[in-house]
Amino acid sequence: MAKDAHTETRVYTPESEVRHPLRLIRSMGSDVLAGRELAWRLFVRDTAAQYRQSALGYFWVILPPLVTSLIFILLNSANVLVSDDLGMSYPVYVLTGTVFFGLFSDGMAAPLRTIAASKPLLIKVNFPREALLLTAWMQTALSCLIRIALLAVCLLLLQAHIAATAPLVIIPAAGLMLFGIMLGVLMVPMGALFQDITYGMVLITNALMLITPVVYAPPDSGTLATIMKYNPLSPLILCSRDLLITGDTTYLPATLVVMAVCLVLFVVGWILFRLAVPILVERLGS
Amino acid sequence: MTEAAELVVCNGLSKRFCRRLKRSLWYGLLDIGAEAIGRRSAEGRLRREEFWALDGVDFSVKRGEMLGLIGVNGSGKSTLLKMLNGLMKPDGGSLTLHGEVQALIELGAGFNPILSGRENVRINASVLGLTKTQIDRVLPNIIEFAGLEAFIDAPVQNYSSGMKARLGFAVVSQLDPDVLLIDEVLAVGDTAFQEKCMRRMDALRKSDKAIIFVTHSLYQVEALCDSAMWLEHGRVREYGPANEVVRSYLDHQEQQAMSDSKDEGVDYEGRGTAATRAFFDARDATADQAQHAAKDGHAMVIEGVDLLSADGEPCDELPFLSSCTIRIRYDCPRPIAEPLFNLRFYQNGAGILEASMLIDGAGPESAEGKGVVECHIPSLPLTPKVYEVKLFVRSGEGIANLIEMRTVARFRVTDEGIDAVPLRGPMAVNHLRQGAPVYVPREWRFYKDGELTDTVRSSDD
Repeated sequence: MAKDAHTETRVYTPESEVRHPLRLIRSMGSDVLAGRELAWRLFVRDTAAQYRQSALGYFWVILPPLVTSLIFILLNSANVLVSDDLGMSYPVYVLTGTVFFGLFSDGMAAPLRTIAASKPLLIKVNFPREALLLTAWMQTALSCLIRIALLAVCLLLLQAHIAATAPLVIIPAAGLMLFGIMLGVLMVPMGALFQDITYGMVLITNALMLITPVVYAPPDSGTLATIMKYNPLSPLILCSRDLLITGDTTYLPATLVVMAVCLVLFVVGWILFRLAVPILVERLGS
Repeated sequence: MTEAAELVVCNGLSKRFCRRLKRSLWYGLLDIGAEAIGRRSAEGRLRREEFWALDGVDFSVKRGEMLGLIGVNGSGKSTLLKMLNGLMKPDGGSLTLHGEVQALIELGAGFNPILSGRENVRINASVLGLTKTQIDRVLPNIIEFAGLEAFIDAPVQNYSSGMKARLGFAVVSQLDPDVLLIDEVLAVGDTAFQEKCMRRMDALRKSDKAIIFVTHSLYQVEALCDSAMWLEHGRVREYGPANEVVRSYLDHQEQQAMSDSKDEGVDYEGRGTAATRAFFDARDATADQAQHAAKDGHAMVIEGVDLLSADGEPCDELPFLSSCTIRIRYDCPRPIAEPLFNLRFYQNGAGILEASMLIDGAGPESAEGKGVVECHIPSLPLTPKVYEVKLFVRSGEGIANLIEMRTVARFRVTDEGIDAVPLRGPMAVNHLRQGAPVYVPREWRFYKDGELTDTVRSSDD
């Protein structure tokens, strides 16, 4: 491990990093590079540990959306919900909706979960903190792959029609993950300090699902229609579903705009995360 | 940079903490907000419920130098180490570190219990910045250093806490940084492992690193460090050569222990057990009870105990090997046959010296009313430490403890008047302070070819 002592000098002062934006961006970039290998290890560790002590293993990734779908399919067969002109059978509609929404909710939970899992290391070792964000991305991507693979199996079983545009689903799917992780990262400074965020996350997720066209189509008018129309998640879900099943979507431009905004907000969240970690370490203690 | 370049420079470093969790979390949120807009929140002052965990700390460490941080719990040592490691930001002052910084800390807590030892080692090594190839290379060394070859593929949850700590330390022991921070790691594992760690640290010290070492073992500071810094309530109380700082720290600690014990007070009142009183009550059944009523049936009351120095003055500090006298003033409301006084000296909770009339023989045949007994010790054979004296009194009449064992005095032996050999080199320590408490006069004889060549006598002859 030969190294040159002259290469690295660190100066710690009370001054905020944002006062030197260029230096900040440079160190963000170098920390991402430095944290790649570690991120992979943390990802392998968390994934292995998450399912090693469970009999059903990775099946738990797909089980929640399956159960949610079943509930809504039952509700629908009892005519509780009104859903006409979906362009596809209701089970297909619900299944695709819950799976795609799952990408978003997984992404949202990932950053705080990664930080909680690495807290003992976080407060003891000065490693590139960006590794934790990368790990969050890897975890979300893995569950995305599993969800989509199992969705494919279910769609085959339901003998649903799959459009030729299906491979393009990767675009809105990436958008859903980005959206989720962006929100998750923005919640880190608050969420690591106050448990309330973790407790509230379930509520937020459930509420968001009901104002997004996940289990029912947007109504034509009314408050819910307005909310769904301006809900930035709606175009992502609708676009994913359209590309997968019908092959014809009008939501692609909106999807791309939402993704661009999410990307900007993600970078903001990332900077906040960087600034927050030393303060979190000091407040969360030994 | 010259050979003795300063690798660590700390200027007026300050850090504040909050005593209450909720408020602390709230301040945390405010601080993050202030960071985000590039300002400092509450610069240079304390907010409500806050205190300075570190306050204007200055020091520097050169290449090849080892600095020991000492101080009682909560004096700011670990906070300082965390800031050196870049885990926390200063609230004031600045900290400059040249070269790669690594912390040698006990990492066992970061292990995932379900994963095997080998998997955890790979993760920890990666967290510490090693690449895959580097990990592959040092993995056998780590396992060997920890001495856990047989268990390395078992899940860590089956490890004992000592095994976890050993594995955690083994990982960091393989690092090779320029600045090394060590936090109380040597407290882990069994003696053999601790020795291994000491050797590793000595090797690191010799390999031209700048090392900062936090410990409660003053022996290790004296043995390994060039300089030491004594922190007290976040401030530097003393900073200088290790042996000098350790010495003042020890002096201070002993004085503290003495004044603490003064607050506790000593308890003279002799009560004896119920059995004792019953014994005397039965014996005195025929005597005039009224005579004893004032003393509540006590057979003996200790009115005072003084420790007297060689010149006969009450004191609580004695020079090494000086003469001393323990004077006991007592009152026996009832006549007592053959009072037998016993003094037992304690150090750190262990009885180490006995001055007992049960061994030396009885004194007067009886005692009644007020009296004084003195125990004179011509040369107190105790090394410089803090001691406690306990007294109990028995009667030659048999079963009775007239006075149950109780603490009657605390004192300190100073190292005044000791001409110990000045030790040189890295392992030089203050042996009188580190050693055992009891001192005996002795003579050392050196022979060569059966002939006596040299004789060394201990100082009191």
